[in-house]
Formats: sequence, C-alpha cells, structure tokens
Amino acid sequence: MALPDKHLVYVLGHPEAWKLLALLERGPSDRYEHVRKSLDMHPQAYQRLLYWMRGYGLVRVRADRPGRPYRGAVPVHLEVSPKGRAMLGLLRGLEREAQAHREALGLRHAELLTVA
Amino acid sequence: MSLLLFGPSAWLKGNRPTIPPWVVGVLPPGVPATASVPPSPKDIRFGLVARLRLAEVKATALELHHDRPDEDPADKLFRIVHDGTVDRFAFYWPFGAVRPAVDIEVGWLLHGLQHREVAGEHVGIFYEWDPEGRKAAHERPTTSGRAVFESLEQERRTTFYQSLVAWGATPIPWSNYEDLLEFLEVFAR
Repeated sequence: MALPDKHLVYVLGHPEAWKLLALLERGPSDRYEHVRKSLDMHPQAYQRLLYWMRGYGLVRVRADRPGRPYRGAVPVHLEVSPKGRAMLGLLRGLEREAQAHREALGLRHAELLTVA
Repeated sequence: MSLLLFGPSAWLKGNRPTIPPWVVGVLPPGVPATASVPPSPKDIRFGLVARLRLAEVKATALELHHDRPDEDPADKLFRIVHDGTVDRFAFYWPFGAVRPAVDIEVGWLLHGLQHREVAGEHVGIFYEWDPEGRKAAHERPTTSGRAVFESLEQERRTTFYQSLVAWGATPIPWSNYEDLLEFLEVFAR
C-alpha cells in the first residue's frame, strides 16, 4: 500500500458499511436521502461513509443511462460495485462463521447484514 | 496493465492550494516547490505516479514518456494508449486549474467510450471535494430528490467531464492528497 491500510478496516468496522452494501445489492438507488434514512444515519456520517465506500471502490456512482446525451447535470445513481459484491460475499461468510460460534457459545445473534 | 493519469498542468492565476510535504518530497529534482510557490498540478501528477510506483502500482503520465522525433502530441497519446499496457484511465481534477489541454485527452476518451473501445468502469474522474473547502464537482438532489452529478467549476471548460460521467465514467471524490493517493491505488489494482 502507498499509505498505511487503516481506513478500510476502520470503515468496515461500522455496521452501516455492511448494511449499505446489503441495501444496494437489492438494486441501485438514485435517491441518496432514501438510502440514508434506511440506514438511519446522520447526514454528515452518511456523507463520510459514502466518501470512503466510493474511494475504496465498494460502491460507485454511475450515470442512470450511460450513453444518453445530457446538457448540464447528469442523472446518476448509487450502486454496489463488483468489488463491493465480492466484499459482501466475504462478509456473509464471516457472519455465518461468527454466528456458528455464537450459537455454540449460547450467545445472542447480531445480524449485521440484515436491512429493513 | 497500468494506470494512465491525466490532468491539468497549471493553476489558475492567484490559486495557491496547500500541498502536503510528501508530494513535494517525491517530485523530480529541480522542481521549485516552496511555501510561496506550490508545485504545479503537473508536478503533483508526477508525484502521485512516483508514489504509486513505490507501492508497486504500474502508473504513468503522458509527459513521463519521451517524445519521438516523428510524432506530434496526438500521435504520442495514441501510441501510449494503444501500446497494450494501459487499461485504467484516471483524471486528476483539482479545483482551480487551467485545463484546455486536458480537453484533448477527455475528447479522446469520450470517443473511446462512445465506440465501446474503453469501458466506463475503467475511467475514473477523481474530483476535489472537501466538505469544508474547495469543491470541483458534487452530486446533489434535484427537486424530485433524484441525484445528479454536476461540475462546480462553471465556465472553466469542465462540461466534458460531465459528458464522461454521462458516458459511463465513475466519479470519485477526494478531499485531501492522502485520500487521493489511496483511492488511485485502489482504482489501479
């Protein structure tokens, strides 16, 4: 890494990051505010989460209909990237593994990838 | 496979952004960079490429390739892009730079996107976006709540950056050079 690898670990340490991936896996969203409310996040915290998730290529912003000419502002949407899907697969694997251990220990479940 | 980093070469008159010391530290010898004379956007691109190379990321910039006697700048662009090794294109878009020459590179990429010679996923537009400072572009909701991407540098020849997004390029914000370097590395790998 060109810089110490601390931010990705930090970002994925937040359950909202997992939920954002799971939420966008259902389909892209062109309404950032709806996504924020689904995650129940403060606007600034949500802004920072999107910043990091986009920087790390886990979610991305794309034009709604690439190839269609626009004058001025371009309609876009948020979507999970292929890298984000791969990360979600890894997180689900981790979750399954952790739940198996929790069950063996008789502990309560914490479902980080469940979205309303 | 490598990343080709496009971007401006000079700041607008009177624009003196703050550049972190590590950028200055990796600049080529002879580049004047003091507190009163910040490095140019071209020097910063060279610095970013140098840092990416230190991290074993294959990255380059057009100006880092020697001119051949029998080619003009357009031939050079075509040669470097078609030499078979470049597969990621990144635009360094800081606020407040002079950018007419970048239009040529943007135009070439738009042609590539329109003719499906370049995939939109392989084109990243890294725009400066500091929530408490300078913003080159942003996404905002319309009155209906839908998101749109928009340049905030009106009348500074950035219309075609929006066209790149419209044709499938991925806009990625950065608010400081440490983040930009990290995001470029992620994009290049």
